[in-house]
Amino acid sequence: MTTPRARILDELTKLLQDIFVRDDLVLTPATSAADVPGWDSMKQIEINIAVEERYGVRFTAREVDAMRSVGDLIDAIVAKAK
Amino acid sequence: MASPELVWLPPAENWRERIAAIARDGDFDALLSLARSRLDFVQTNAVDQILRRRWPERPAAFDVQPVRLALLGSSTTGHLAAALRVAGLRANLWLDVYEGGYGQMLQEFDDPRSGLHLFRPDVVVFAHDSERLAAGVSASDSRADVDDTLARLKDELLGLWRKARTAGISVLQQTALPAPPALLGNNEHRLPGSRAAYLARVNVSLREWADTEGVDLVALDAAAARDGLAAWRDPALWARAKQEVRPAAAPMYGELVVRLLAARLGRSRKCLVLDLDNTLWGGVIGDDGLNGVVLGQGSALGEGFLAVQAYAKDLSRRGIILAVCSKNDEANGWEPFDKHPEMILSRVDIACFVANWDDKAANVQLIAQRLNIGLDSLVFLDDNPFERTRVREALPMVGVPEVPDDPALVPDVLALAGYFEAVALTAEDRLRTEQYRGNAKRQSERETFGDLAAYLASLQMRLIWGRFDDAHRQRIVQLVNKTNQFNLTTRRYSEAEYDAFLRDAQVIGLHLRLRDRFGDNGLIAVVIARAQGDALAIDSWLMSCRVLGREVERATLLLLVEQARARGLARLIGQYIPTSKNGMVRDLYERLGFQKIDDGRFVLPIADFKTADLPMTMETA
Repeated sequence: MTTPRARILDELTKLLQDIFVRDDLVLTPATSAADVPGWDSMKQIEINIAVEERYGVRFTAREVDAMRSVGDLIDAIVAKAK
Repeated sequence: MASPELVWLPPAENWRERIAAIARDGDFDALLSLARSRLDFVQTNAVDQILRRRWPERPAAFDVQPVRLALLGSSTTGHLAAALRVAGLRANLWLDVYEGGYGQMLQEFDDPRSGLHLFRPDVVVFAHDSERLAAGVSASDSRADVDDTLARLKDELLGLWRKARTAGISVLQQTALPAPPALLGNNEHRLPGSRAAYLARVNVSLREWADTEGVDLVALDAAAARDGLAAWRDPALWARAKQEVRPAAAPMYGELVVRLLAARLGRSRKCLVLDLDNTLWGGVIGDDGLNGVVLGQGSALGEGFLAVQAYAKDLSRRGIILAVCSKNDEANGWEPFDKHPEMILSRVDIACFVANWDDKAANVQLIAQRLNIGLDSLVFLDDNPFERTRVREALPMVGVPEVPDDPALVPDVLALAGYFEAVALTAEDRLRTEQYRGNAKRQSERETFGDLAAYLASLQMRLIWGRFDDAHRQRIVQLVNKTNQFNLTTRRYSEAEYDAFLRDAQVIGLHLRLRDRFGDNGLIAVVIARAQGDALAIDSWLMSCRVLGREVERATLLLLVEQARARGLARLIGQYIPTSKNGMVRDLYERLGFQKIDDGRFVLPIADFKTADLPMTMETA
């Protein structure tokens, strides 16, 4: 049985595959911007907006600044998407 | 925060499979088809990334107008270029986009070696953010202070616009998003130094300034009024990255800009083709009968269909041709037009009515033929998804909007789609329905005359011609840029180039208008010729196809010969440059008595010119 976190990781992988136009992109909770070529501050904004629209949530500036990895992003989604 | 969506476009089905296949196989048509779907900003960026990776140069098969566009912002604009290019694909334009340095507008214009000048743009978009436009205004300002600030803004913007136009670049100016929070509230306008009130004034003033300066506006304020400011601008993103327009709004931003480019090139659509049952009224006239169809009468559904009709009627009042394409017996289809008391549209509003049981794609083609307009001028409105898909697949150049289930929502979707974007309302536009009705009448009279000469004589044609001038600029440039078939060289010229022709004593530019007893056909032909040595060389010659077969070509030649004689020139030289669309004039020069010089060039010594009887009178405008 898939946990919500595993399901979100799967969904985020598809979303980031679209954003980076790479269908071989593999994410783990430990993945960070440094691991993915082209993941700069502008891409980060796109990722945040796409995630916000996908899950109907909104991240604050503090939350965005604190995100270091895909795992952090999943935590933020789980905490907000109630 | 709902982002503006391209709701009129069909959903991008099987997105992941399709984008992967395009990345792998490089099928440009598949990319185009995807670009014409309802993409969000992530998908738009993905399409653009593959476009640039696989097609850094325009593929030869995509034989469309290239446009060089410079986007000059006062803040971050890098996230908008992709959506501009993709919107270009959707509109059959190939966009090269230059992103100017953030806040470097004046420097870019003043330095002849700037990236902007090296890029040589055709058009520039000035993307001022609301903070920049409200600069210098403070809540403690007096009315006089604010008036001064507005006057300075006017000087600054007009200065920029004029620099661009002097360099031969046409100008689009973004209006202000109403971003600043209110300080008073509902009656904000009573605080002179309110930035919110000031930007409302700026947006009103921009309309006046743009109209006198020949600049077109990208109306972000209107978009924000429609979609909500939050859909367009996020204060958190402004704080984080100085983005005035949210990345999620970029696809709509691209649309707004590109449809202006298309409109300036005379490429907006001209005709709305309407289905009848469940599009103009509820129910099926053939089954439900006149009293059974739902229209008006205070029912929510019936009032919704009235809204569709009222919108179509208003479009026709401003120059959009209406046609009907319905699966019906013709008599049944007409019945509500003749007898239903609530109908807003009447027989005379419909320029072409096709009701039968044939394939709709074939009928749409028939409508284009009868009206003598291109398929790419048509929009097909039909509640039936089967018919929409059929027309989209058979005729991808026809605009086929999605149709919401509730008819009350249809006018908004049609307006949002921007198919009929217009930058100016010329006198021609208002007369259009009448002109096309005139076409239909001429066609039926022609069938009663066996003899063409007698028919032409009966038309009482008057050809009214004049030299290029300021008053005709817009209409002539429009015609030069959209005429494909009767066009000898298909050279396209901007308004700035037109102005250069006006100033050049060696250039003879002529415009021709044709009237007859059925009415005014409008400005129907343009010739641009240049005196070179002892010859008058015809640079451009184009004519609207709706006056084909009426000897306007011979009359035009007579005018050219007279112009050459008046300057003491000995020869006319004509040129034919073949394109995929202008085969009909391949042998025009030879038919008119020119001799072939070499491939594509023809000469007519003035001494050899023989005057023939023309079935029209000629006069100067």
